[in-house]
Amino acid sequence: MKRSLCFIFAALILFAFACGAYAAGGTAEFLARSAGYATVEEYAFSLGYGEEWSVFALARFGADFGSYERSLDANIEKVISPVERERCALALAICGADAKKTYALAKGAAGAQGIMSVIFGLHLCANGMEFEEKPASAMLEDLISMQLADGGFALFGTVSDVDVTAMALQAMAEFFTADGVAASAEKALAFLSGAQKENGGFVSFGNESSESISQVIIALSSLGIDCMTDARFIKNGNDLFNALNAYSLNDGSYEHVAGGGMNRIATVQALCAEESYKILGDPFWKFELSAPDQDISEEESRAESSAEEGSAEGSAADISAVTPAEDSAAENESRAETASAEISAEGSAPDAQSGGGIRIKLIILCVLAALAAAAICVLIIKHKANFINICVTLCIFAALAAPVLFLDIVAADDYYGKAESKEQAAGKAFISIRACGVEGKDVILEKTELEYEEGATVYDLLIDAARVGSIPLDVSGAGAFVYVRAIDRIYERAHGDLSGWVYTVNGVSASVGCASYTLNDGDVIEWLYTTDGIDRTGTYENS
Amino acid sequence: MRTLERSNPFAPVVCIIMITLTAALCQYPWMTASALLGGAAFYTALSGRSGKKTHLLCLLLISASAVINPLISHNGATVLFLLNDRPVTLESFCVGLSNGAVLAAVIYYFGALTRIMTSDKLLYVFGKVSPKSALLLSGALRFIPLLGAKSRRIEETQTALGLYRKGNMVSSAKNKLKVFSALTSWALENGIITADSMAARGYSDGRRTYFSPYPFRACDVVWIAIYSVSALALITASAVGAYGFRYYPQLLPEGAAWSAAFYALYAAICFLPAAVELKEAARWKYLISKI
Repeated sequence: MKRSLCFIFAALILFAFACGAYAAGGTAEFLARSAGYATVEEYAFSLGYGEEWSVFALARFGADFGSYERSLDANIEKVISPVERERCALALAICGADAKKTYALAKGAAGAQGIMSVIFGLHLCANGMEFEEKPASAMLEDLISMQLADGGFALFGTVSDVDVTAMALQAMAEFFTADGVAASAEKALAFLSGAQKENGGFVSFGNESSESISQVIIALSSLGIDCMTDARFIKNGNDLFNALNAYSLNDGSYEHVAGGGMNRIATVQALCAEESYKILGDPFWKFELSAPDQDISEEESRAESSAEEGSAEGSAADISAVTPAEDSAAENESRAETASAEISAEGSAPDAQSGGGIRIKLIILCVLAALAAAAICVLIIKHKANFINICVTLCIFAALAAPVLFLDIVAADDYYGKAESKEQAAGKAFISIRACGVEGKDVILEKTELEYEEGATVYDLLIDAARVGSIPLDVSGAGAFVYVRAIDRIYERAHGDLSGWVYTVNGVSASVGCASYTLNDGDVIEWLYTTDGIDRTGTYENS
Repeated sequence: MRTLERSNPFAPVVCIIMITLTAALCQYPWMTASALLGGAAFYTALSGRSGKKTHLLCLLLISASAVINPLISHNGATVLFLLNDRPVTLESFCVGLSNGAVLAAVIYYFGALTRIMTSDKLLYVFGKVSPKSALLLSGALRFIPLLGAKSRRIEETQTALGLYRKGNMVSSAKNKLKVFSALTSWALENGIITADSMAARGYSDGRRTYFSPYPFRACDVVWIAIYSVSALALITASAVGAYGFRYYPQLLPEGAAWSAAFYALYAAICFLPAAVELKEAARWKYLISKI
């Protein structure tokens, strides 16, 4: 009995040691790790003067930037140029410093050093600051007057630059309702769309870098344009995140130029892009500040500006091709999660569309070949390796390998976030996906226009939509008997015995399976998750 | 501690039902792994080298389940690749692996149980509750080794007659079919004869009493108490959420930091039968060498 007790205790100790913890590896985690800190919180607390961009990137992590203010105080004599004063003032505001101190630092800097000082001046205005010498409206006019003929912006000279244009758009997003901003933004967007290369990237300051892509993502997300679905920013099937992915290293970091190795600035800006996409529709540079003692008048002006923001969002979204029916932060978050997951996934080349699929096929075939070799070895060891035995073994493994060769295998990176390339579009149809009874999943996919090929069914359209929106599907059955069990991991019967997915075509519930309904041009398909078996599709269209 | 084989028959039945029940109800990786390894150890300790084919069967079962589950279920956040527009996920693969491992563990434990439970033990345990089903169970279980032995004898006879050649897979598969056909007709006939002879001994006439040389010792109570209490504790704690593991949508250990204690407890009850068995075997060997 004593010995059995000893055994139990030995097993107990062994398993207590064996239980490990999971560790996530995102971009923010990489930054913290490479700076020698275990957590993002510790890293944020260590940030000092000169690391303003990291402060902006981590501003929405809810971390405490304890050291920044002290570090800035120690280096205050180095902060001379207007743009730098504005940048430091914004970082200081994020760190929760006294509003008076922030104001003193940025005073007189707005518009004092060309376009960048205007842009950062506008960022400060968006965060509740007011410059005596120059109100926000004057700076906006300055900014719009600096626009070049082709719609872009430049630091100096007459050649538009992608980075500067993107940063100007980020500032415009904060004051979208002001006069002339929408038109100016539209022109700038047209310039960016035109400047995008076939691989989804941009050339700025003479070379192709990841920072340009990050800046454009921030600009588009601030304007409420989803860069994963907007046709203007998908070139040759490559969207901005695909292009950014090409600079991603496996550990969560990014390169400045392709093959250039890890670059801290590029990584920080890529993190800004990821963060910005997570809050798609809200301006990235408008932070939620917890300023402790501000004047009442300032509070009021902030409330006013945020009210302006609210209406700005709606009209900012108007210029995107897809009109979001309502703002749904949770849905954006979930989509941004898949996007960031894609970024942190293996950095495969985005140009090689089927490269990932072929690699997976090869891995499966190699495993099968190894198993076949092992089986033959066993036969040889048992002295049963005659001709017929080896033939039968090989036939069994060939039968297993044959479907692998003929099946359509695509790597996840190459699949999600882009529409399937169609040789001949027979028409266009609209699709939206809603789960009204599920918290935070009200709108899984806003009304999206998609092209379809001749003979395509509602099911084909759903697959395409899931692909574009990076929405996971779970279906069973095959051919005409396909059954949709889950969309976006909301399963049938997960919310009551009668819950499940239903669809309507032009507001009318169809009486056939989704794989049997052939699409007509202009059809409006709506997928709805019902929690009580009652089909309420169409009723949400107006609400 | 007495081995399960030498304990009161209720002890092994309760122990193994409790282990497998917990494995089936609480499918968490550590527990599944300890059930599988503990089961394999116990089975091997009881059957030695004769259990080789069971290991092969279990391996096949686990790998088949791991491959088939992701093809059927597409739940999970980590998409490995897309097969005909359907996501094949890591989580689904892990669930398949875990399901296969639980099945294999059940096969091992019940394989060991059939080695422990001779027909008289079976009649002792189930005889009072349901004499007919106990008899049926005992008769059916007897058939497993009986069929194996008979098929070997048929094979040998056919080989001697020149009807059976062990050349290659194709011809041996054909010959196995012949043996199987002979075996089935024999088994049916034998079943009828057995039933008749049992009836002739008066098995169908009213209630019977059994003589059973199985006293209840303190040790049996300890076995049953350990297993019932820990299985109950593990299942309730898992239901309450004190520890656990979520496969969908992402692999995620749940529960408090001391959930390791539950895993350790389960590992202990999984390995205990095999450990006691090995301890007894070692003592037996040691005593012999001393003489």
